[in-house]
Amino acid sequence: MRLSNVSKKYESRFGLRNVSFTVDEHEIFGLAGPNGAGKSTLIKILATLTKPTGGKVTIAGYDVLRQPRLVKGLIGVSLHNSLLYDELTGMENLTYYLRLHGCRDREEAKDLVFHKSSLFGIEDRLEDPVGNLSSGMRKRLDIIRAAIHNPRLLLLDEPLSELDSEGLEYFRRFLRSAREYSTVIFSTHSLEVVEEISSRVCILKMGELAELRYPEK
Amino acid sequence: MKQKNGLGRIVSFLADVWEILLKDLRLEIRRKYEIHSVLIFALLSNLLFAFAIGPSNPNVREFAPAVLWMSILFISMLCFATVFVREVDKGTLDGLRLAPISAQAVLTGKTLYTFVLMSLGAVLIVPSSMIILNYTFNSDGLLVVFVLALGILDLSIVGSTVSSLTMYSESRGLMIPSLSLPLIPGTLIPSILATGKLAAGATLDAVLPEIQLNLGYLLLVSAALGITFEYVLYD
Repeated sequence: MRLSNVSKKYESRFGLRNVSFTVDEHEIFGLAGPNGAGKSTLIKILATLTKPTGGKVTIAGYDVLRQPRLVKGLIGVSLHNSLLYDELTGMENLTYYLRLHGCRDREEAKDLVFHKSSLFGIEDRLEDPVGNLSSGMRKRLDIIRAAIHNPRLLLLDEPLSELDSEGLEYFRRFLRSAREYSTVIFSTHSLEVVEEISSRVCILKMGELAELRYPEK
Repeated sequence: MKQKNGLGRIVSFLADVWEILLKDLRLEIRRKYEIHSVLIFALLSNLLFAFAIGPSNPNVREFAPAVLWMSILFISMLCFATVFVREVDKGTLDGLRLAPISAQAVLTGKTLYTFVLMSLGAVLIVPSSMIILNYTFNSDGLLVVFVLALGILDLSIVGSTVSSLTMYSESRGLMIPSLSLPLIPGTLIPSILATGKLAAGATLDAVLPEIQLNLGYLLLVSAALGITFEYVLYD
């Protein structure tokens, strides 16, 4: 994944300004920075949801602006707000998204959902309507939704925001498993967590790349 | 990754449409209140029109098709209001925007969902209207169903168009009926005329001009929306 001089300008201010870096395959790449630093804007640009006003972004060689549909087949995205339907069960939500990614075999889809959910310890809550789950459980389920089709690039915007200590432990476990097939980019405002979990850290400040380094462990 | 060849694309497109339709219908069944409101509103509007005209009115057969389509139009407004807006309000539209599927699959799935919902309302409206206003269709039953289904499909496409164009607008409560206003007569007038002829016992030949008009309108609106919807959804 490569960003070259990526900018996003909103009327009078920059959400991102000339940000450039590359992320290697199977990296766990942490984006840190205070609120308004541009983390979510960057994730949305990578996810094809927001168009940059300048620069170029490629994922696995595909241009995010010119080949968005091909890029969408390679990525999995969990945003700040959940993309799950409250009235459907966890199983129904996950199989629905999995089928939109081309997995048409219902039994295979169910097995995959069950396996992924077990990584986050929620396999016994899959038949509950999502609306009945706590916000932490819903967040876990939404992260699984993003990763359900084994994307080559997993983009997680503030994945830790609703997770308790148990959820954080599951998240670590999940990342270890996810990096076998994915590159993971996640954002958080907690530098402590990002240092601990990531293989590389990017710190954004006011839309600019302030620091890019390996974490001190 | 999904298949890329011609037949594979069609199969993949239809499968995506089916998944979206199935998901929306499942949500509708779980919520219950929206489907109930459509059915209650259908019955209520039908009853009000019927009492206003009265079954003993000598011109009832002339009024009946317009009454029938007015009731269907009213329930369509309820359906239009939810088709895309609910996804925007709940934040789940991004799930569709992020999926590696075509915008046309999203649009077709949503249009079919509106069609199914409106057809459910029509299943209640048509027989109740016939009973209350005391009229029958003296034509081939299949032809009646076809004309009604075509008119409802036209309305569903108009509804999907309007709903998609207004989904990000805060004033969509006003925008939906305002934008529908110039689009709806194009489908409603031929439908009313054809229904009137069928009630009088017309054959296929007699209603062919109206069917052609409705089909033409269907193609026109579908083509226009097919081209623009990608921009509406992603930009």
